[in-house]
Amino acid sequence: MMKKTLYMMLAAFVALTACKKEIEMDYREVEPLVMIEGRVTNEGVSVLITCTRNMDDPVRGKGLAGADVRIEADGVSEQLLYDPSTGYYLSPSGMKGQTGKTYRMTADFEGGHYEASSTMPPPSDIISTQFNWLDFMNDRMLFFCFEATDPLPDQLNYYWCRMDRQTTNPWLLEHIDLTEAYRWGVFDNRGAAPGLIIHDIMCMTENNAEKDKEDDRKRLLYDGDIVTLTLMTIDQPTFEYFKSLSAGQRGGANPKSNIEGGCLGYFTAGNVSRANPVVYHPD
Amino acid sequence: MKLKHLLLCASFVLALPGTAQVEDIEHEDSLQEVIVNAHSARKRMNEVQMGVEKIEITTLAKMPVLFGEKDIIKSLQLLPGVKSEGETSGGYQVRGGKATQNLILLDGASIYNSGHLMGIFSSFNDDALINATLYKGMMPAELGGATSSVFDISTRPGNMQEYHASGSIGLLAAKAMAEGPIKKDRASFFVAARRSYVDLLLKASKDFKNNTLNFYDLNVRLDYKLNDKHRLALTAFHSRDNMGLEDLMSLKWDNTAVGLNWFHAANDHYFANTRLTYSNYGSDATIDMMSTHYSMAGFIRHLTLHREDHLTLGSHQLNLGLESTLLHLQSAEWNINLLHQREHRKAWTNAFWMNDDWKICRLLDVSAGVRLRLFSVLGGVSYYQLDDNGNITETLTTSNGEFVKTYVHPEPRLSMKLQLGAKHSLKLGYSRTTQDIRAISGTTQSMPIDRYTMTSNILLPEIADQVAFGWMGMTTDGTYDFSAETYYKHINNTYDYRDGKSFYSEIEIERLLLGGRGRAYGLELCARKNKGRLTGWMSYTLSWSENKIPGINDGKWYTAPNDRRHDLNIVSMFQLTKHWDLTATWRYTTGQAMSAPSAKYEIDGTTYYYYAERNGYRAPAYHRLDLSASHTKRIGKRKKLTRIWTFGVYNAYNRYNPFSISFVNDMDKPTGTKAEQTSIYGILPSVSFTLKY
Repeated sequence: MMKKTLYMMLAAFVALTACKKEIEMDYREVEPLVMIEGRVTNEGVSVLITCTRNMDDPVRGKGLAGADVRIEADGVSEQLLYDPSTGYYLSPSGMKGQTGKTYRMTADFEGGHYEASSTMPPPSDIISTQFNWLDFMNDRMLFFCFEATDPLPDQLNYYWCRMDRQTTNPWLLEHIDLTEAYRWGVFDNRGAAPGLIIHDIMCMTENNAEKDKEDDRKRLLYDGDIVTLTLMTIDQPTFEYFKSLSAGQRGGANPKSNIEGGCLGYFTAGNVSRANPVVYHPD
Repeated sequence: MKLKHLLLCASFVLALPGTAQVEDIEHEDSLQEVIVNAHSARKRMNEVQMGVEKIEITTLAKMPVLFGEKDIIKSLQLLPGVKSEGETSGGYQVRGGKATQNLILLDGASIYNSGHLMGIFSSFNDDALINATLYKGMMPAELGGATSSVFDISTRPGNMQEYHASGSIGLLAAKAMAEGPIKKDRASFFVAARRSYVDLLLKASKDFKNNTLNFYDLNVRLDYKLNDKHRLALTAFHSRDNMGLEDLMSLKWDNTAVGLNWFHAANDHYFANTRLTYSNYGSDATIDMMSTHYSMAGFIRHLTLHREDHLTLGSHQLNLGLESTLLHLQSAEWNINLLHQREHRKAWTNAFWMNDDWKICRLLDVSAGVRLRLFSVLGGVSYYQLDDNGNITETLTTSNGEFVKTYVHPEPRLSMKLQLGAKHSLKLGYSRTTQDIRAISGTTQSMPIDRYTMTSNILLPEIADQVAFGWMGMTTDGTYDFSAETYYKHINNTYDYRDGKSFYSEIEIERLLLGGRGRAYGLELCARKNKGRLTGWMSYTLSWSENKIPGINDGKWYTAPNDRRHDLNIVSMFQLTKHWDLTATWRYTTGQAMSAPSAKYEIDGTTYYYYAERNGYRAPAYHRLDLSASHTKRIGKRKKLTRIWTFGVYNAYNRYNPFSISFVNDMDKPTGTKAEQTSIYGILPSVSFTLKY
């Protein structure tokens, strides 16, 4: 947040003269790489296996079948089954993650062997959510703020949060993929009041909302949009993965996967909590 | 050598603390003439030291400038082997190094992050400078502390005979200067100040009226001639920047430097210079927004005693000396809501050197020396042991003043010049330099929010070895001169952030860093026209810069982010009439190295990019034409006033050059992705008015 905010401040100063234009790039192709997204949560188990695609390929990757995926905890291993309707590998027994347990994932796919482990932290309960406006340079900035419990206040805890929106805006329905998060991020509890975390997610400025430019629409909320918040406690390797995923996109580096075997992606055991949906109204 | 000349030498030494070269002043009668003459083709030809660029302040005054502010750093970037960090940055890169590998000395005191307004202007007021010399990694033994370059700048001494003053108003800042005798022929003063008024312009805007955006700087110098053999100079410098978005965020940084210099000439063959300096660089960033209350502050403080003795023994000119510095560096002190953390470090560094400028025969000159550097990490704060992932495995408790670790490094220096007749010379050099203080920047440009760190029990001193070979030729009358220099540099223990880490990730900065190696090589060509109504130069640099850091790019060599293959600068100055001077500069650089994705994939529904190689792509080329016209006229009954109007156009043909390139998902594109270039400045006209007395 601090880094992002400071860069925002610097950007505000250069914004007076800056201009943007699209340029042509001649991307070099590489052999497809395996990408694994594995989660064990209190809600269930899911593993998605996809492959990277070329830069000129607009079609999103589908979950790939044919892998042998297993989840192991306390010496008990369970093979996950491929669900063609979602593309995910799911637990046939309805396995759910438990706090404090360490889970190990193995996946064998097209000659590659991949494995990772993760320990599930205790849950954080969302206490409240609300929209707040902040006066800012003759404008107002909208934040989505939430409070949640910090389960282990005397140690460093890590969180992943995701904000989704359901919209009826016809332009958005046509132009964006609604499986994409409206906002997401990771943060830790450094400096938090004992037992309580407060987090603000920057949404948009009032001026931008009024101007409603096409380039901005993906970042805008519209009257009547329904916003949901998902909060997940995660372990440090998962936090490092998401942190480096976010930083690397700007700096040209790939995130550091916690999965061994040479694939992209992550495996996490996390405790998920969800907030009640909030309807956005400008006033 | 007459005593009068020694006193002139005193002026030179005091003005340019680290680099006195007696031969430069042999036939001159005033300091100003010394400086001008130091840049003649013959002087460049006779210079034994390789990789030296002396900046002519009078030339600087004619350069086209952004927003009407003359800028020594921007002028530096037009020289061969020197590159701009970026359009908005005050940083410069020398021979493949990073801006953070440069050391800037003002009257012998270290200055950091020397840019106003995030680097749009440098912190150095051109009115306050007498001379400046850039050492591009090859340097005499009395200089050290940087692996890329040392830029040695001197504050102008006050006139001991007459009073002078000047004032100047530009688009964004105003400045004033005054100098004169305190006691004629005995003591003088010089004072120069500059203040921006961007904030006044902001106040007129409804949207920005509650924001802060200003800077100021102040240079003061007092000179006192005790007698024919002793001179004292007291210098002081302070610069500060304040930026703020209402009460929500602020960013401030400042440099303060104070120095006392004592020059002593015992006889015709011996003089000495003793200098005591203190410098403090500080930065402070705060955010107070919604539930976020952050502050972060850092500083670097030096207290240095420097002594050098110059002895002439026949054909040998010896320079012996020592430098002792107490360092106190705070990499960060932050408050994150209820959390307060601080990391600071202390060290004591000492250097002893001996350098001999030896004229072996009429054709061969050698400058050879060695600098012995000792860096002692001092206790009183916590140190750590780390595992390979940067996790703390042990905390070391140390007592105040305890020597935690001492590094000893000899740094040999050698430059040779072989004179081939009156018009040609060949030069060869080798230099080893070390650097202990470094900024760790998360971006390709230096920022006030960069965290600084220094050599510790974990971080090793950065060590650079450079070899260079060059030729210089000139026409008979010195109207034209030409030079070619090629270099190879290897750097050990260069540090960068681990992937995914930033300045804010941990208070213990060593946990954030990975060390590796770097190498750079290239060729620099320069052609100058020194006489006539049209003067100027054309410089071309061909260069490569690469890094190898375990954990990045599979541990293989990769192109450094500051790598650019070709840099071409053309500077022309034309005296149109007695009153009008015209200047044009054109620069062309091939694209900066950048990372671009080679594939894409989805995580949690969002598309991300896969980068197959670090810095494997090139941004579009950069080119820009800047123009300037100055009208100078003496006015008043006794013609004691000089009025100067300067008109400038930055980026005259309004090219939007690449500042950054980003990749964004766009479902409207057939590929689903677009590459977007951000540019900062289009065409920018400027005007400034100066009145001198």
